[in-house]
Amino acid sequence: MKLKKNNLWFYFTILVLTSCVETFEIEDTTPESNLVIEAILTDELKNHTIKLSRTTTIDATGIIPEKNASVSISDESSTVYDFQEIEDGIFRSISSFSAELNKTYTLTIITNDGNKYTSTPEKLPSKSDIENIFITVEENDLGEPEAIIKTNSVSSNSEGQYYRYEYDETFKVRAPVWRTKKINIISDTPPYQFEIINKPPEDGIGFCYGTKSSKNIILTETKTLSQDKVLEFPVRYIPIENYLIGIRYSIFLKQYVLNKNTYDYYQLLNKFSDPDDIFSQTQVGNIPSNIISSRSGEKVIGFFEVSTITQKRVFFNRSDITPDKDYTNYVSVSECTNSLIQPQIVNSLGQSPLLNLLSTHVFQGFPEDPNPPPNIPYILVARVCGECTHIGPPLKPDFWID
Amino acid sequence: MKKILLILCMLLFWSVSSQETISLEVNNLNKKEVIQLIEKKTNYHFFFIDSWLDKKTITNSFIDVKISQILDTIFKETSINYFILESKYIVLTKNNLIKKSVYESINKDSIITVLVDNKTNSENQIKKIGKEKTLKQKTYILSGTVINYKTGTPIEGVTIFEREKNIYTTTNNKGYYKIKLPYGKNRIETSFVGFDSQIEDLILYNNGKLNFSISEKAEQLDEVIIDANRNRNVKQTIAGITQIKAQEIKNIPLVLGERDILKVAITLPSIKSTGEGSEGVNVRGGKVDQNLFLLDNGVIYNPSHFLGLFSAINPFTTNNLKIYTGNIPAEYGGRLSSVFDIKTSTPNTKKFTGEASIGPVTGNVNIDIPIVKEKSGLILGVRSTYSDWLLGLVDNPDIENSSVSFYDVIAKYKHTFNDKNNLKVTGYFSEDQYQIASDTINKYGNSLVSLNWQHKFNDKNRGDLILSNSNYTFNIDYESQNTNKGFNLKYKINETDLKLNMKYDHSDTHHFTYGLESKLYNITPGSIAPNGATSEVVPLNIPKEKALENSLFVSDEIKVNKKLNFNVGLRFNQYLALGPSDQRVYQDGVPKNESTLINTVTHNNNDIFKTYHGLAYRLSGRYSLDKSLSIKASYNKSFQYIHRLNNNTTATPIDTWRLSDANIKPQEGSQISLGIFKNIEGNKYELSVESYYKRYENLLDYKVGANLLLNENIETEIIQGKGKSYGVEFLAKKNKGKLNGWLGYSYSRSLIQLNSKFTEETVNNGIFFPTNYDKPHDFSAVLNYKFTKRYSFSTNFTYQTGRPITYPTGKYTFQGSEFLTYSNRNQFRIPDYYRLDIGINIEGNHKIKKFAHSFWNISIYNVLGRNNPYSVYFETVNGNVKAFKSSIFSVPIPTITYNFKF
Repeated sequence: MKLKKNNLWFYFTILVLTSCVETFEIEDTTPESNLVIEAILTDELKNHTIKLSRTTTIDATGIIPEKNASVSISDESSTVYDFQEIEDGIFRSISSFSAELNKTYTLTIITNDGNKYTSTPEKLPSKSDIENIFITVEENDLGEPEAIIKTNSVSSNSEGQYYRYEYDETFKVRAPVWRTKKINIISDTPPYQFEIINKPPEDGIGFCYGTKSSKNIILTETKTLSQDKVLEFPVRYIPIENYLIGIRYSIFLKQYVLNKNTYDYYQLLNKFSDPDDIFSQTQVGNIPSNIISSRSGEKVIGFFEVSTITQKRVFFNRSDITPDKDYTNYVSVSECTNSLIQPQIVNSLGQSPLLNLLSTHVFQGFPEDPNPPPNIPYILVARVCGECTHIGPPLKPDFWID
Repeated sequence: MKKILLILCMLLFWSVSSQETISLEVNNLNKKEVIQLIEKKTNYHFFFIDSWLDKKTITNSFIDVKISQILDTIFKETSINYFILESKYIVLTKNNLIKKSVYESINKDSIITVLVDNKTNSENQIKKIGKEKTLKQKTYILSGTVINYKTGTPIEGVTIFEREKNIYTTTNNKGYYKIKLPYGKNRIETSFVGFDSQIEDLILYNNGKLNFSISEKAEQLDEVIIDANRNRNVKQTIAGITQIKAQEIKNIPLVLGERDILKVAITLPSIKSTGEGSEGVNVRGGKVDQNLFLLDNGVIYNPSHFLGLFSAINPFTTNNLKIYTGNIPAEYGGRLSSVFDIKTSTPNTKKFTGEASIGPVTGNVNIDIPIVKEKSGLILGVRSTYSDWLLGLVDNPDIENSSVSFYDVIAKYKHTFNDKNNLKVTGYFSEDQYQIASDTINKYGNSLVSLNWQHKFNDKNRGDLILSNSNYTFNIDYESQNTNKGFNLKYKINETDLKLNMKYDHSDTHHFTYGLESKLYNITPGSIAPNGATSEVVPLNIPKEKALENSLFVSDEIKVNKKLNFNVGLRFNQYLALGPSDQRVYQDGVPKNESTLINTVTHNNNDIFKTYHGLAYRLSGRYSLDKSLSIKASYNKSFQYIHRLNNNTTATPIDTWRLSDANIKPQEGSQISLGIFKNIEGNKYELSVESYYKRYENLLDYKVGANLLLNENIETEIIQGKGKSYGVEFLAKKNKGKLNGWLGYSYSRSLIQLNSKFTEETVNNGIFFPTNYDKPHDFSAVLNYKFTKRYSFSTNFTYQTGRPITYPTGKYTFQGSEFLTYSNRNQFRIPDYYRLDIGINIEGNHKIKKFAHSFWNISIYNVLGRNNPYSVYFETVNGNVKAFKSSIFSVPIPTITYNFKF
């Protein structure tokens, strides 16, 4: 019995394990056209809107609105709120109204082809307020710092709720090369004539205010928690250097309290559109709706959501988020420097390069030469550098507080 | 010894003329104690070696007898002789007679005294057999058994011969032989194909015993053809049994350097896997949960590591794997589709041996430790990944922060008490840990203990009493410092099984197997506990489930005549769902959900709240058209009371098992099969065609997007439906020659029907549709070519129809984002799967006396670099739908593995 030198451990290995994920073109299958219903009724007193459209093929662009439908919501006491089409596929209630506690509401749609769609009666859930909204900076999975906008809800005594969030974010940006003056075209036909004038007040003072709405479905729940309080729930992630949070940023957060079936519906939408595990694949399928077609077997897409809503707006300055880290503007200074150009008013062909450039460029300044050649009196810079109106209007929105 | 011989020589010529009489009372004393007693009571002094004396006790009273009478009595049935010197000294000898004089003539026959030339026999120690008697015969009988040195099993057909004298015999089926040899010196040799021959020089003094234990030729490269089994393919009554021996898979190309017995199984036409990175196998269109994996009779719930890339069965300690895919013998139950019966090697009780292997992913060591020579031994196998660096190599930021590690340990102890009793104990433990999403750590593991007492009552009756306990757990640890949702989730299933399995060889016509089995299931479906200081997760404990499954079984292998055989088996199952439990009662005829809940009935501990009975039958028959051609048919039914819940398209380690209760009915399955089996040139070529049709009742499926983990009302998410699968399988094997291997092809379908009056419980309008593992065409080829004794080349090719998937058929915009609408479930398929692997095996050189035997394997997995899509999924990115396909191994993967035995 002997255990001799078994330390001949010797190995040599070449190994490349590649787990490969790549995109591919979705091949088109038999086209189907199903009604898509986006209907949200809240406790907010307003003219509620409902959107109707049709499903499209996967490679299609744009939306096919469902026109000329008859849309109404009725409550359990048989009060009917009729809707009228204000735009293709967009229906607004004729009167303003709000969903009330302990009442059930039913959506009815009769499409132009005579098909009838009816929702199950939905009840308004209880209300919960937003306590606060704040920003923290954390590293993401890739080790990059991110600003995370989080919210707490006001703790309520109820059993636990289902929450959905939407937001509109508005951010102040600065044009890197803003001038108070601009070029005014006196004549755009020969003889070309230009002059420098002061910008009017509606051109702003070099800042713009962009606004974007949330695109993904943001859900959370407190049912599994010991109290009904949404705590430090992240609603928005922004890379720390992003210009969105470069100067001042505002978020208008809408918190919806949902019924369980509504929550389940959104949950499945999320689950099917954002698979998080590359090793296993969720069984996908059509998500059952609470709206049923009178034509049996017809798929109905969408949901009739009855929810309570709370809204809150907050502002953050760059210094509130990160006092020491600079942000990257939407366009870099070097790009702007590279875009500088000193065009001729009239060239040898009798055309005006200056006039042509004014669609993409704006006034930057005068040449430093004390005696500039008369044909090249101005220096231009790319429009995105001199203005920021492609991002948003240059004037403060009404809600904006500096 | 030397001392005694010296004394012997000195005293040799002093003889005893007269003996005194002695009285002695011997009461339950062994020989040594008797000698000590004599020494105490008389003046005699004994010379002997302790080890000659056995421990048998004697009770006798001697009154006024001569010392020789006492000694004759004590040493009656032994090979001890004695010699009394000068009324004082008694010299004991083994075998030899001490003669008073060298010239003493013993017998009229005057047999020549044995002469032993010590020089020429220096290699072999001369064995002395029998007690020399003064009265000698010309010939004596030598008998004994021949066993396999490694396994301890008797070997039939070994030739025992004395070359010079041309005397020979062979062993019978118990390894027993009897040979008549002349008195005196003989040289006995053994001869058996594939085994080293053993030579014993012996001096035969009397009838005696000589046992041989012979060992297989070290690393036999030429095939060892054991022809006893040559027609097994054709002759076995039951169709659909495959046996894979661990040794046979050595030459198949490896995945990441791992020799993997379960992966080899997948190359057979009846067994399929969903793909790389998925767990489990589908046998003849059955679900993943319908396979019973037994390791030394204990159940393993998850026999795979690393998300299914490796099997959790240590290839080095495994002796063989038997797979029952057709007619499962009545002694097995509880699963519908198959039994994978994995047996660990028998520990070596003679010699310390070991084997080690080094591959790029894992290291593996296994050793055989004899504990009590010839009686008991221990096998210990340990396997582990080195580190997470495997994943570190992946050029994918999603995976960079991930980690995967696993290990498994197996130990088997076997003790042979005597010819009739032995005890085997196996312990197994495996654990996996992986972290794919960076905040979640998943762990899972099996543990298993099994005891098997084997008893032979007589030549016709034998039995096994088996007690085993298996455990499977998984654990999801989600820690997030900044939200209140950190949690730790635990799942556990435990089963204890007691089984009595008896065999009764009634006659040549009837061979019975019968017994009973009782299994206690205990499931802790999950508990969730807050993790981290800020976590506000409410601790939740889904109530435990408990059930007892009792079975009685009997089967009879009937040989009607040489051509016609039947195997008839019955298994009666009783399933008792036990409390404590809160069973929810729902309205009849409507979908189960919160609003149709009528009430909840509470049952106390061990209350039987639901009973299911089932009579499973296993019928099969074989008819031989001629010696090499046979037809087999079978019809059987099975029940399954435990269900694996999974709403992904492929199996994962965190699938939960759930017991049948008042709301979840047991699964049922029946299969009819027919096959033709043909052997050509002995068993050089084996051909078979098998077809089957299976039906299932109460297969579990789920409503779209069901949440199965930690769901208290899981029955509200479950749909039970019918299933059917059918197919035809071709297998051609070449077992001998330089080129060997097999080709397998199957055409098979696997369908399920989920139909109900209610749309939420209906899938695809209630018609039969393909299951997730329906892969009609499946072809595989495993070929091995030997260039020389040391070099061989092997390839493995697999082709499969792509797995069914649910495809997006359209899109729509909802709340500013695009979403998809889907086709009918499993209406489309992902692209076909094919893969070619190659490997080169290099054996170390074959010096017989070499201490360690080494073996290299160089393999390339997926030589063609085929980017086999493993999954296809769709994601809404910035409001636009994008389609992704993912594959696990998209480039060729070379590996080198080094093995050595010591």
